[in-house]
Amino acid sequence: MLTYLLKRISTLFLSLWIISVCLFFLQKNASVDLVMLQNKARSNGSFYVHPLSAEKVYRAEAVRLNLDKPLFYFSVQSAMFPDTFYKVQYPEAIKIQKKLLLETGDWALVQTYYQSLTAFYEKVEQTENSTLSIFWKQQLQEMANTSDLSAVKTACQVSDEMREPYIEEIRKIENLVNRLSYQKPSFFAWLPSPRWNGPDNQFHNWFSKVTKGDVGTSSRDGRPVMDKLMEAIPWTLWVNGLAILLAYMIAMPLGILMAILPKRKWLKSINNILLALYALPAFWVGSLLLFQATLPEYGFSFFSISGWSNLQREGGFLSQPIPFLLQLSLPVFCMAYGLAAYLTSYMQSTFSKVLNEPYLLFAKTKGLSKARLYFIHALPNALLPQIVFVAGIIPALITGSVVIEVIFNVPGMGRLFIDSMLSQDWTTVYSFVLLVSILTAAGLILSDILLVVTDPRIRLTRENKNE
Amino acid sequence: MKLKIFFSLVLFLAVFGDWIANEKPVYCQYQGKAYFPLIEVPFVKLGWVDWPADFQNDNWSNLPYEKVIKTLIPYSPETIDRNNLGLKSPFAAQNTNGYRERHWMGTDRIGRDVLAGWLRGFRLALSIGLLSISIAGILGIFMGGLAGFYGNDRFHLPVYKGFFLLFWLVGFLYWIYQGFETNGSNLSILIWLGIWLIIGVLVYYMPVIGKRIALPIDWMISLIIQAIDAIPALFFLLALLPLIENPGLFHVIILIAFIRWTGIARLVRAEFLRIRDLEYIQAAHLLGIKNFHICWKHILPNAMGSVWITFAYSFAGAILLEAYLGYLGIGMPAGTISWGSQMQQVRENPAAWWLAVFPGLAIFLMLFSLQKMGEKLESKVS
Repeated sequence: MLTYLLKRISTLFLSLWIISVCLFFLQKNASVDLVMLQNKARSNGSFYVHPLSAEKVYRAEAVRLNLDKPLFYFSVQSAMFPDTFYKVQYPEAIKIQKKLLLETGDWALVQTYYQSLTAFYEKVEQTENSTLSIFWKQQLQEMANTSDLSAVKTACQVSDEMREPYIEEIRKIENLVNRLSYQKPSFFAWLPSPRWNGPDNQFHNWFSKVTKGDVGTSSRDGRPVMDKLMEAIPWTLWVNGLAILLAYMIAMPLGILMAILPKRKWLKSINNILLALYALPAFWVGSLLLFQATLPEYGFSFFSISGWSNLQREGGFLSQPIPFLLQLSLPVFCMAYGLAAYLTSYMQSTFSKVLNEPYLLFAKTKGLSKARLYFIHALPNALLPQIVFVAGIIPALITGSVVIEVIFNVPGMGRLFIDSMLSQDWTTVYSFVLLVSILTAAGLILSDILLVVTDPRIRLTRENKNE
Repeated sequence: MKLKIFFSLVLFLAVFGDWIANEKPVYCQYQGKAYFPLIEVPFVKLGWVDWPADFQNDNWSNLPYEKVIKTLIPYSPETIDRNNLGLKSPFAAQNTNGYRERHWMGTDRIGRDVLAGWLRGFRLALSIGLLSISIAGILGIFMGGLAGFYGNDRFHLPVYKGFFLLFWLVGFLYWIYQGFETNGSNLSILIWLGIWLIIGVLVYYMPVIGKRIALPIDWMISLIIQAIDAIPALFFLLALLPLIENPGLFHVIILIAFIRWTGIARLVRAEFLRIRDLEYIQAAHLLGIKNFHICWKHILPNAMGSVWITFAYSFAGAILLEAYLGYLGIGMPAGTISWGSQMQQVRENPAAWWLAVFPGLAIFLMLFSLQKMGEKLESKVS
């Protein structure tokens, strides 16, 4: 028993670790330009940086944000890449330098080339602002943004008058471009060279923060993501929890009733209705309800979809339960009806299966009362699959609640997720996914444990199988 | 039987929907010549048929035809009817010439015919559902079959080969990555990849030396399944979408398949685990039949019965996911007309009930009939 649980939990942690690795890299790939974003926020949105002076800005910011470290514990790169390629920070520069490196295979040369471009830019910057210097700044921007060496060459070939003040730098660049265009990476330069980066890497730093509950700050408004999450989670839990509760309260008696009543023709049509209810998309019903039930013309104006934050500020459920529940009633209804329909038919099938077991037949022949038969002997066994079922549907429920929250404006996780998604706040988005997956995995494991604890048959078979 | 009729109808609408609702007339006589614009489009592209210049403009309804036979619904999903802008209700007075041009399901905000878009929705839902489920099915059956057939105890290999496999896989991924980085144009990388493959094959056929250990394939695949299952589908889909620069239909299909394969794989795995211990499989092993042949010819047909059921349910799930994406307005390429995107417009225009009722009805009917089919298959299997 204990070994089984331990195994189960350790695989759970392993899979959560795998998820967090994947999410970390997704976050890295989908990331908007963090430095640019923060500089834009500082200078009221009118931030422009020349590609050749960007590197300096980026380097400083990257050190501050801890981005100047290798990504993971180890890396496998082509041998021609330098150990410290991750130190290049400006996204455009990374792209261009990588391309040049893959084409030429000589890191020293590529670096010299890029440095001479920067030196040229700095010299242009120092001279007074004339049409000439503006022209060269533009040329340099083009040159810095392309990996096409012939384009660089043509950008340098302008009239002698224009070249004259910077002739030294231009000659140097042309020389380097010539050398670069004859270079080709050797056959053996493509061999992989694995490197061990040690624990001082970006993933490790991020992950150790996450385990302490700090998933970073939102790149939109600078608030800690955890605070945002903690504000949103209660709402999602309320909606989902109430929906599950409501669904069970409806489904249990109905399912049992359908199982114990004598079989009639209408049973089939009721099953069809239940199936239809289950298939009825909640977001459709939600959006229809929203506009029919909240508009005053239809006389249902006591349902409202605004004022969620007021409700929260005034103490939520404890201080004013009636408005709170009324406010939640529409989303909860939308979440609950499909679940209730499914659970009813599920309960009916499990209960009637249990009723056909030999031990119940025996109990019946012994003359036990019907109530005793159903509630003491049949119910516990029929409830067992239901327990497992709750945890199994949590992912689907949360998926459904995203859209329902968006429709009814519930400030829960789903809406926050969509909002952060639309404002490209990837830190929040991926922290959300991580948190939701932790919750879901915990739910799944809980159902498994419950099942094993309550049903000795499963425990024994699993132990025998040594799963 | 009724289900069969319904699905054939859906298939018919999906395939021929563009011929039912199209702004191009079936037949027209224009400037003294006869044309069949509806079916001539590919021939015009090939240069076999010449169209007058007026046909190149997208204004088919106002051309001075001499004779014309229009399609059943003379609007394409994208056609903007400038006379009926701004949400015309199906029952309201519409600014059209007669009932033939009436918008039977109303128009949306920019004057597009809702019925034409609704018909287009069948094609979108069906193609997304079918394609993503077939990809998910192939992946799920492969992974689940691998996990179920070998389990944790049936894939033996010598220790050194185990370590080599790991080493080889890292290298293989590295070469593939480098190939992508250089757009597959670099000859030396292709040569290296070839060398790597040859090394892999050579080591695979090397003799067995030393102790053999069992590779826990089932454990590894179950771990992946568990990890993917822990992330709710919509969250997962929305988290993967920003990685793609211009997400298109194909990307959505692939991503849905990537999310949906785990359910199929879990079932296939359980079935394979059950069937591999049956006597007839043991007999097949004793007869010396190859593993692949046993899986393909003897286990899979036996397992497929219950796999079809998950196909039906996954199909429904894929359609629902697609509708969610359209409704939230995230991930689908801009301008895609689907049931979800039609319903999205209701959020801004609450009074336009026709934009919610008809697409929702279609989604509901699809989901319901797929669930019904799943139920039917289930009762057939048991």
